Order: sequence, then structure tokens, then C-alpha cells
Amino acid sequence: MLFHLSTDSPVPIYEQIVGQITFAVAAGDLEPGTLIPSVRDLAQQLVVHPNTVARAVQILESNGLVTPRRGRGMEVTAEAPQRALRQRREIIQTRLRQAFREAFASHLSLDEIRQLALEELELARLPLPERDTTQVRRATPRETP
Amino acid sequence: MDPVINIRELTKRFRGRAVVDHLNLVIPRGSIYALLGDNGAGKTTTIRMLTGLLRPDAGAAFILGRHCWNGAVPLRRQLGYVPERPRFYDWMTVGELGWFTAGFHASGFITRYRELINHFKVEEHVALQHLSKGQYAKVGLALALAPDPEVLILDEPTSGLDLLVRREFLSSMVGLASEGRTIVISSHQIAELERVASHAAFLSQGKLLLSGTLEEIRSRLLRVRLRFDGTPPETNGIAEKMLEQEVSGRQWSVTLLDPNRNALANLHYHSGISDYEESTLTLEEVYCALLAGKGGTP
Repeated sequence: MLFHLSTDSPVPIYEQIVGQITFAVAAGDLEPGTLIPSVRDLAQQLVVHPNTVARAVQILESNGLVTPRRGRGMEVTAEAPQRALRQRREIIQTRLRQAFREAFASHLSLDEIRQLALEELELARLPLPERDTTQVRRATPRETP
Repeated sequence: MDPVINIRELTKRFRGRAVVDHLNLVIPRGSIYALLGDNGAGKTTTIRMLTGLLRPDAGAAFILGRHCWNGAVPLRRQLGYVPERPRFYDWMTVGELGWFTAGFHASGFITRYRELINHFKVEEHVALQHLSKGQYAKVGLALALAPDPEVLILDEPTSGLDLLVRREFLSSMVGLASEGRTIVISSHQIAELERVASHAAFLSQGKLLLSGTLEEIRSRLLRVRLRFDGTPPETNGIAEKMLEQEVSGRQWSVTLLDPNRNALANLHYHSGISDYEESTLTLEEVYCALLAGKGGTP
């Protein structure tokens, strides 16, 4: 699976790893029984300290998404998809709540916030390539005679 | 915790000026310990005392229980060191340099050196003078790693390297740390160590400003922004130390070391206070704030 980690984010790196593995399980990209790479391999792949990865794996284990399998590292549990779906909802809910709280703290009106949320929702729904081409078209209106 | 490096009151003076000033650090096994600071902060001088190249004027450093100055010779067998600007005999080929250096080391050196050179994709028959900067640095790292050292000390290892080479380099450091090796890296490029380091020490003009695990450091510093009506808020007692304070119109921002949670809660709900917001800092921001506040409790 592919990871996208950012050190600029206020979300700590271990939480980013937990989130992304949870989303991958929820989306069916990581099926029950799949072995996840060892702490060492994952750390080298992501270029983060092994302690950080170990902490993420520990959380995933206590969330019931992965379980140690003797001599073979960690594997995705049978109950993982169901749990991941619930956890994904919680993670997204928390992020949205934070964003909305920030919006209120900045004194935007309720209507403005609602408007923004709807716009962003529509934008996020569009498939990526389509978004790109509309942006390119908008940016260079004079190129086509 | 299993301390591999123990630095006690380490001090070095050049012409009466303390370049490293009563430094205390404990570096546990398996850590990637970042020594961070501007040029002249004392990073290289500290490293030269750790590697037994420079005699401390006061205090001492111990690696794996050995005194870094008195035990410098036996210690060299357990220590890998890459200086800031490694210089080898440039007329030798990469292979010849390994063969030459193997003479100073136990058997097994040359086999591991060849493996590392291969792994780093450097060609053995090329003369060192014809290598790129990145390849030259990899040869330095291969020489340091070939004796299979417990402890690796790197002085600005990534300066002058391309982004991809730097990433590859940091990734191999992560691999070593997961084998339980202890790595000390000095750098003034703070951001790139943010991901890989487990610990950091911030130095300025020879003095330790702050040290700990990255999480400890992040949890000890806090930035608070708010908007006030009337007079700016009272700052007495809101933290062990206030590092930065900015007032612009009715906006107010402070950076705090070891904030007092109760005092902040009072501040948050005080009349006339709005838009209260707390945020954590990146390592770079931590460094700037520490320099602005000059110190704190290390």
C-alpha cells in the first residue's frame, strides 16, 4: 500500500500511519489475512524512526485491526474491515469537527460556513483528472483563439 | 533506558571562549539523536570530543562505558564516524581505498565494505576523484559502516547531497536504528530530521537549550493565539517560560515552554478574550522560539 506522510501536518506521524492503514482496510485494499510489513521495513520505506512505526502498529493492534502472527509479523484480522469502517467514520468526524470549530472561531456566519462546506463537498466529489483540466482551462482562457 | 552515550558537563574552550559549555546529554540505544543548531553552536566540537579527536577542558563523555579521551583507541573499533567533509586519498579507486583501510580493521571489514559499496551502487574500479559528491559521501558512509559499529556519528552527513540521495541515506539510518544501532546526526537542516529522529538536542553558542524525545519536545512547547479587548492579557504564571510574545493591534501571540494548563484555561475564558487557539510547533519553529527566548531548562 502507498502512504502519504506530512511533517507539516498537526496530526502526528504515527496517527497518520494509523489513519492511512485504517482507511486502506476500510476500502478493502488490505484484506483480512494480509501480512503488513515489519516495523523495520515499514520504517525504511517511510523514512521514519522505527519507534514511530512501532507505536502506530501498537495502536492498530489495540484497535483490533492487526494481530501478531507467530514468526510472520502482523496480519490484518478477520474483524478488521468492520472495525475499520467504524473507525474511519470516527477519524473523519473528528477532523470535520475541528475544521468547523475553527470556522466558528474565525467568526464566519453559519450561512457562510454551510456554503463553504457544500462547495468543498462538491469539489471533493469530482474525480481528480476532471478537476485538473477545469483548473487548466480556467487558468489559460486566452490560449485558444 | 539503556544509555549508550553519556555526556557529563562537557566543556571546550578556544582562546578562553567556551565553544561547548557544560553540556549534559544521555543518548539511549537505538535512538537517532539529532544535534541541532546553527553554525558555531558547538555541534562539530562536541562530535570531535565524542570521537576522541579533541580533549575536553572539563567534564567527560562516555560511549559504551568507555571514556572518549582516555579510551579513544579501543573505542574506535565500536564507533563509526563520518566527518563533515571527509577527505580520502583521491588517486585511489573505491576498491583500493577499502583494501587500504581494511589493514586497520578486523577481518570481515573488506567483505562488508564491498557489500555496502554494491548496495550504494558505487563502482569499485573508479578513482575517488571522479566520483560525484553523493557517491563520495556514500564511500565515507561505507567505510564507517564496514566495521559493523555499535554507534555511528555523522557530522552534517547530508549537506551538499541531492534530495533523493539524502532520502536514501536517511532510510538506511532508519534501518540501522531498527537493528539497535545508535546514531548521532548533527545538522542545521532541522526539517529533514523531523521524520527520522527519535530525539533532538538544540544547541546555541555551546549551550544546550532543550533536549528530549521529539514527542517530549513537542508537548513542552505551545503557541497560543488570541484576540483581546482592552488591555493585553496578563502573562504572569501562564508558563514556566515565555519564549516569544507578539502583539499586533488586538491580536496576541505567545510561544510557551512548559505551559500552565490551569492558567491557560483561565485565560481562555477571561472576559474580552476571543478566537483563542492553541497549536504545536515544528522542530524548526521550536528552534526559532528557543533562540528568541534564549534558553529554558534543558
